[in-house]
Amino acid sequence: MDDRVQHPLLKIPRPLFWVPPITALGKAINLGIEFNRHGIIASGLGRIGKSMALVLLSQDREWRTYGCYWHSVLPGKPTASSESYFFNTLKLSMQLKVREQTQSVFSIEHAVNYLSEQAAVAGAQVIILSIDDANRLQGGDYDHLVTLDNHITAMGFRLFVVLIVQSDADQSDVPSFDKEQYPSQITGRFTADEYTYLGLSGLSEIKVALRAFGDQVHNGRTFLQEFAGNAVQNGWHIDQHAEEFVAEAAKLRAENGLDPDAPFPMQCFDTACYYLLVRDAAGNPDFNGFSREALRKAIEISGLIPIELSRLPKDVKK
Amino acid sequence: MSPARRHFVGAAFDRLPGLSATGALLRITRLNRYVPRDYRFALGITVRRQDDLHALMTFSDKRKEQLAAALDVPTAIRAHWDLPVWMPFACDTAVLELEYTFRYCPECLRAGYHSLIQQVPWLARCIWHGAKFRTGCRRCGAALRLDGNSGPWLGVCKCGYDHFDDKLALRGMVNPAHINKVCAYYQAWAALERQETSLISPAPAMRSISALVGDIALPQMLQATGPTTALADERIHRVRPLPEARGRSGTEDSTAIAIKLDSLVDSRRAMIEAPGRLGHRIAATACQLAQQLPPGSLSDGEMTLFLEPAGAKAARDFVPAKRHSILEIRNLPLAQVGDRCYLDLHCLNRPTLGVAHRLFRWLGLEPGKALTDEQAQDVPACVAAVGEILARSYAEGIRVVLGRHLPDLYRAGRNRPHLSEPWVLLRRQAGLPVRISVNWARLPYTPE
Repeated sequence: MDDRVQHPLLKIPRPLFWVPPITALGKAINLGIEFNRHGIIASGLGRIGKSMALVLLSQDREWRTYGCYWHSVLPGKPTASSESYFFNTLKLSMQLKVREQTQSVFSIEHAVNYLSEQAAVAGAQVIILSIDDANRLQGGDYDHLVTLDNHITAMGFRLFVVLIVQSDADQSDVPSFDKEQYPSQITGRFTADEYTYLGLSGLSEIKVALRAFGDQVHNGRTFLQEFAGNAVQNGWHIDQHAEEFVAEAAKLRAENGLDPDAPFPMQCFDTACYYLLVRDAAGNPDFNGFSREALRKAIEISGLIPIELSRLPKDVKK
Repeated sequence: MSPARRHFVGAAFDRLPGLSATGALLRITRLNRYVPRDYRFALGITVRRQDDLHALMTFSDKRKEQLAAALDVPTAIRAHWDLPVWMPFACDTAVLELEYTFRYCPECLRAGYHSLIQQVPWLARCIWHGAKFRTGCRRCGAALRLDGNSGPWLGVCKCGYDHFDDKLALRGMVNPAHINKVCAYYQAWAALERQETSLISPAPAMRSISALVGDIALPQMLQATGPTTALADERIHRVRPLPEARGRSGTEDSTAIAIKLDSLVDSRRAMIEAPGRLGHRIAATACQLAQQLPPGSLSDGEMTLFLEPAGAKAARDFVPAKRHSILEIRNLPLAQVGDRCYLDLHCLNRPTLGVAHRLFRWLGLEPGKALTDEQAQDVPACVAAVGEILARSYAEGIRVVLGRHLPDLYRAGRNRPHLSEPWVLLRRQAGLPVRISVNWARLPYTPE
């Protein structure tokens, strides 16, 4: 079998790579832990790369300045949130056995014991609980988070909650987490720090991201060496196209009445990079750089324009 | 691709080397807040309310396999769940179930740790904490039982004292590497000892392997860690019968004695021919007892039968009993026919006689076949041990039989009827004759 078939870039899901917005979110979490916060609320537009950031931050440990155990949860959206439902969701995310009938106090302790044990095994003092799509949480769920926080503190560990909120989730301009609705014991704990997660902003971040994409290594060879080996030998690197890439994106946006300097969503960036390297460069033995047309086509295929158009308020779309 | 496994809190067993199945179940129950019906749901184990979980998880292979499969227990940990691997002698597993109670180190139990090394009676203190092992509650002293219906209160005494600390249990033991080292060392020593040492125990037995406490010499490393060795029970009398020196006047050849005692193998025998040395000892015992009995205990004829084999005569002030001779008493002393002595086995405790049987079977003598070199080497020690067992059993047996007819004997101090059972350890190093020690454990009460 061709080695390329097994190449991670040709598999789904494709490998994740560090980009400046993820590094910045990691720093914000480190600061939150350092300054004794119990949580951070990070909001951002859909497809901007928040979930990718969470996955990478949970997998990688090098960015952490404190020993942490990271646990991720995806909340459901029941008609009414109860303590049992909340903690059973938590237990299912931990792959713990969940009984049909459990006293919720046992569920709380079960979940707390799991997190505490995992932290102890990892030699960590801080337990990071990341909740993606936290805009789905209901009012009572924040109370349950307080319960969890109190129990974990009693076990001698620190809980730090990372709430990831999609700011355009309800198609309105009202923020998904309204501080006014909640008592200070909730807002003070988990949302004292607010962080706006943006996509790749400006030429410098695009350049860094292109370099990070191209320099990923598999079997001792970078992705660029694997798919555009001749060009790399001639001194080519994908980040040389950063300026043209940004210019083409701005041009396409302007043609569609969009803000030309808006941040570039990570999901679109990943698709564009994939197209450029695998579909354009890899099939061409004489490849020595991308043409403007190829860059434009990559951005079109990435779905940037439809995504950004979908975010416009309804009256503007008309 | 293997199916995703369910997780259990408290199942990070790599930090708990030497953990017992009881310890594993205790951790899982407490840290996952399981109620009794969850054992079946989560672990696939059926447990009844009245079950002693500790005994169940030590002796039920099925339950242990179910637990190991449910928790995906590493083989290295599973290997520690069998009690025989902690024993420095080969024995029948049923013997280990006698007087088996939950024994724990309070500090270990707080951290959710229990190992079968804590069950061996020759260790009195925890190797890691130095704390004295307990069987009762720390607060009220009542026996700490791990019942099948305790659920999330497993390890909590009826007085309310909780022996388990969630916080400590979640963090596991402090120095797993050291625990692993000690457990591995102990098990290697026990395995080596098992190759050379066998246990012959009474069946049915009324005491337990705790009778062997003073007879087990722990390895140097465990002794060096502190005063962990248990002191022998004062009520245990240990004897190491020595084979009679060859060529001593008036002694029989060991092989000839073995042939006489060979009839012990037939458990239906009511009498055996007592070999010379044993005969002398039994005769002296009967004579001494008869002379110490209160006046009016034995009839004239009975007294004569008791004293004659030892060559003694009744004292001038002897007061005979004013009754007819009783056949049961007349049969107690040795019966002499010419120069041969016969011992009535009826007064011997049956389990004790069984030990003598099995000691002979262990020797592997076969009628009509010449002794092998190894057998010839072992016969003197075996004969001496069987003699010891028969002599002491006889001495206790005649007191019990006499006690039925002479109730005053129960107020007679040293001669008060009582019974003991022998726990015999046989040690044979390659090329050397067997060394036998008999540990006499007094029974808690004297059977009729």
